[in-house]
Amino acid sequence: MLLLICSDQVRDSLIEYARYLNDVFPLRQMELALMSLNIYSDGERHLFVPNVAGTMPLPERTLVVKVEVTGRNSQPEEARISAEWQTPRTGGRGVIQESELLDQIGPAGSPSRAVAEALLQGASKTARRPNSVMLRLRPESTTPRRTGQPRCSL
Amino acid sequence: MFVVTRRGTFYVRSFSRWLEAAAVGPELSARYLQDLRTIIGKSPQMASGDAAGRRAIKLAELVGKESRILEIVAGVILILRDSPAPEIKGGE
Repeated sequence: MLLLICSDQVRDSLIEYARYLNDVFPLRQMELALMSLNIYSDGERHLFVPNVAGTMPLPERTLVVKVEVTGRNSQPEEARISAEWQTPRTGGRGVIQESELLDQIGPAGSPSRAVAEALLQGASKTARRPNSVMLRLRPESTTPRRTGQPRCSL
Repeated sequence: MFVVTRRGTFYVRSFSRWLEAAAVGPELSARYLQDLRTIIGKSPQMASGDAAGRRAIKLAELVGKESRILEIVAGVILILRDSPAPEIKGGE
């Protein structure tokens, strides 16, 4: 079921409330879309511009096929096959793309979004950077190694 | 290393995973948290039960502090990446 809420302006508090509902009711069977309807007119001509301000889609479900072998000798007749839809265990949070996350944080140019972009891009750049130090492998000694001692040295 | 939430907030958590993934001591995460606290002015550690980040630090409060935060983050990333995996004591 799709619930479509249309108004001349969608307030941020309503979007925030929709996000709250998304977290509280992860297993809901209803989709929600918030639309703002803008009408521009010069008296004679009218321009109607609908804008989707936010959506709350159903959580994605995954079909899991299980093959359970219960017997010791793994004979086919002792295997049980089942298929079930799996739903998220906690919250309504799924994996989202970075661009989607940034859109939810704020519009382009907003301080919050600028900080998020700087942090995410800076951290991922560092993580992708090649190792800054070289590791030189040392042959294993014949003497026992102490627990916790690294296998290689700088 | 840190969490940026869709609510536009920032926090850090899950330091125990560092110990599972690399042969580092808990002092590394303690120092990381202290350095971030010094830059931000308050602790960025996730409040209990607040994984959604409702009570976390607003990103807007971090304006002008991004590069200093990233310096700290980058330093720890390199330490973690260059550290060997922890040795697991196994029974015979």
